[in-house]
Amino acid sequence: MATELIMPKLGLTMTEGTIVNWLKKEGENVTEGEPLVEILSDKSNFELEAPETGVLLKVFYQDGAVVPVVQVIAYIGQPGEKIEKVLAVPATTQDENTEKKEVPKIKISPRAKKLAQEQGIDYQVIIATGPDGRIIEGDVKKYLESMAKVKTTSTARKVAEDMGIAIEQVVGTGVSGRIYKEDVLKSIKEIPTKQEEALKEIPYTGIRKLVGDRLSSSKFSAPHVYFTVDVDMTRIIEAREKLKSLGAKTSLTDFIVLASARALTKYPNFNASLLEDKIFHHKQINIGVAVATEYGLIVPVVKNVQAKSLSQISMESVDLIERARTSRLQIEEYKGGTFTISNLGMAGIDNFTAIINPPEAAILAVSRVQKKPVFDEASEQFVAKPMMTITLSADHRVNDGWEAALFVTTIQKYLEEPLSLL
Amino acid sequence: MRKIRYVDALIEALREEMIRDEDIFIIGEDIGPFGGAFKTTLGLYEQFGSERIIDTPISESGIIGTAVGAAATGCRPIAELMFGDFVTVAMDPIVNQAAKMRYMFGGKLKLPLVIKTNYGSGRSAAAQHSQSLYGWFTNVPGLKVVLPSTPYDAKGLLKTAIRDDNPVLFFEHKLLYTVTGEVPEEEYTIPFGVADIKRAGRDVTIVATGYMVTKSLQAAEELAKEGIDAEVIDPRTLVPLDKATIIQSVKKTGRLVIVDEGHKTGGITGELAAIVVEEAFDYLDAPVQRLGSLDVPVPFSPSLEKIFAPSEKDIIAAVKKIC
Repeated sequence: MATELIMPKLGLTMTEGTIVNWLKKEGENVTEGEPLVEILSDKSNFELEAPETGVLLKVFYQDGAVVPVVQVIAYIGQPGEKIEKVLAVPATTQDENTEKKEVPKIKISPRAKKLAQEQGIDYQVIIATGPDGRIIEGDVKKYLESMAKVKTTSTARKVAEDMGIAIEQVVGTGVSGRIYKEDVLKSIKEIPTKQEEALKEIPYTGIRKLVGDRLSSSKFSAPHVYFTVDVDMTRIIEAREKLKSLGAKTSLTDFIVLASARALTKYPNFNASLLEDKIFHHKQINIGVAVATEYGLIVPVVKNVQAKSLSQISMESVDLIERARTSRLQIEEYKGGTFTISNLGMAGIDNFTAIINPPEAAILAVSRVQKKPVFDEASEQFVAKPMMTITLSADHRVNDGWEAALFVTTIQKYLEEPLSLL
Repeated sequence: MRKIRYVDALIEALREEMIRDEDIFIIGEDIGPFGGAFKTTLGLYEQFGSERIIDTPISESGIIGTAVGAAATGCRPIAELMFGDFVTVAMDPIVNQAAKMRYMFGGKLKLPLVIKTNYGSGRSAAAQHSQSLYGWFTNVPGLKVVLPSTPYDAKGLLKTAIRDDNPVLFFEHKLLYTVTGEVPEEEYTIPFGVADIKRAGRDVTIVATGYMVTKSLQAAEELAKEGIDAEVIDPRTLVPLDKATIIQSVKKTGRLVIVDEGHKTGGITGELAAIVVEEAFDYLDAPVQRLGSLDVPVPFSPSLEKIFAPSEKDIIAAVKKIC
């Protein structure tokens, strides 16, 4: 039987795709994996590959056609093979009035639609069971339940039940974390059985819960994107030594705060907050510095950094960090941040990513300085240089990758050439 | 509690009110010694005499015209039409006089008038004696429209109608007269504009009027056997209408079936559906289903008449279509 080639659904929001260019003609031979047609989705261009070897028997839509997702666009099979009759959905071309586009209308009750919207679900993926193929409230609820449920095979569930293992604790290795029987068996040694009591119970309350809830909400609502660069710290270290000899104590973090503030002035999209349906660019640059204390994570904020000198930043930071460690901060001293720096260099970390501190739009993760071989273009040799890795986490709703890359490399340049900070 | 017939509950209300207030009289055809074509005034002539139970010739326009004049000049008349269909002969005194007078005279007069009649198919009374025309009067501001579905509601609502200082049209279903139900012996009235939840449920709301309440309750019992829990709401008065109870129920169930014996086109079901779509759209989980009588004259033939008005089966099918 001939194989259908369908317009793929490349994302939750994709409802139709444009056929940019057929790379093969009807009747031509195709090999499995060979690019067959170029498709344009609402986000990007990509080439659809032939799912199997054979002949491109029939092409239903020509170049330029706009086709709803999952609609059959062509058939591949053996020469002379008959294909199933397809009621092709009339395609529209892009030059036509966009209002005329034939998108298959998804039936959904107002009640179900409201619930889906409240839960932030794209209802196009929900299976309808209502009259006339309509999505009803129960379908949305079922979908929500299935999302909340652990993905597992029925055998795995049975095995886990038989062994008295809590399946929620098993790490799945399948597609999107689906749990297989092997995963359950592998976990037997690692996971306490349901009956066994935990070693120690720590209530999830107070600062642990506050930090935990805020960060999960950030991680799950703000799409994080990460940008990492290595920074040559040679000059900063020299500058720091010089200042030290003059009697001024500064930390590396102080330099990073200053460099970030300068970069934020140039790229206000990272000194911003997304609230409801508006993006706010903040006037002030208030940089939070994450401090680990015995009570948990505290982020004191150095305010108005754009108007402060290195020594001012340094003096304020020392005071804030000291008081954070001894739990003597005033509420306003850890509020109002517009950007955060988390420095785990002292902990000997090579590289890490941080979760954005809401409602901020970005956070900079700073790792340790260590000597690394760096290829020196001038001498054509590897030389040892003190290198530090910084990773920016940016909220992709507020800013784009290109700008984030420029922003983080600007910080890099300031740090590599500290005189430019003056 | 004692159980009495719908018709006896109505007569009881008339008797008690006539004893309470001497300004009340009843005027109509065959209501005297004969006791009414549907025995709705049985025994009243003997008790109150010919001055307060007034028999008239066949003259509906005259009956209503007389009653409107009497109401405007201080009496509290109850005019009975032998069949609701004959209201057509008396449209001018109802629509252009009764409904307008209090408004046009700047509130200087009261119009305490009850027009009491019957409606509905099911007795093979043919096209001119079986209609359900009450929907017309909901489109005339100034008139109140009442449809009692049980003996209890019949008595309580009739007392409220008699005590109201505005014209009230009171529609009794022919098939309900002999139905019995609980009616307390002590005095009570039922306020207008308060719907009654005849059966509580969570899966679907059935709003039914008059005799259709009975049919809907029967359907609800059948549906319960299949696990569908229907809520049956009886608005009791179409004007004034208790929108809040209906909307609250739809917010709970997400599904609405409206059952009325009037013709579907241009009738009550459309009005009720529109209200819910306007005010509770986001709560609907399925299209609103309307059941009304077919858009044909009421057939005389019993087998045709049977399929004319919504039946228990029709209600069950409509519910299942959306559940």
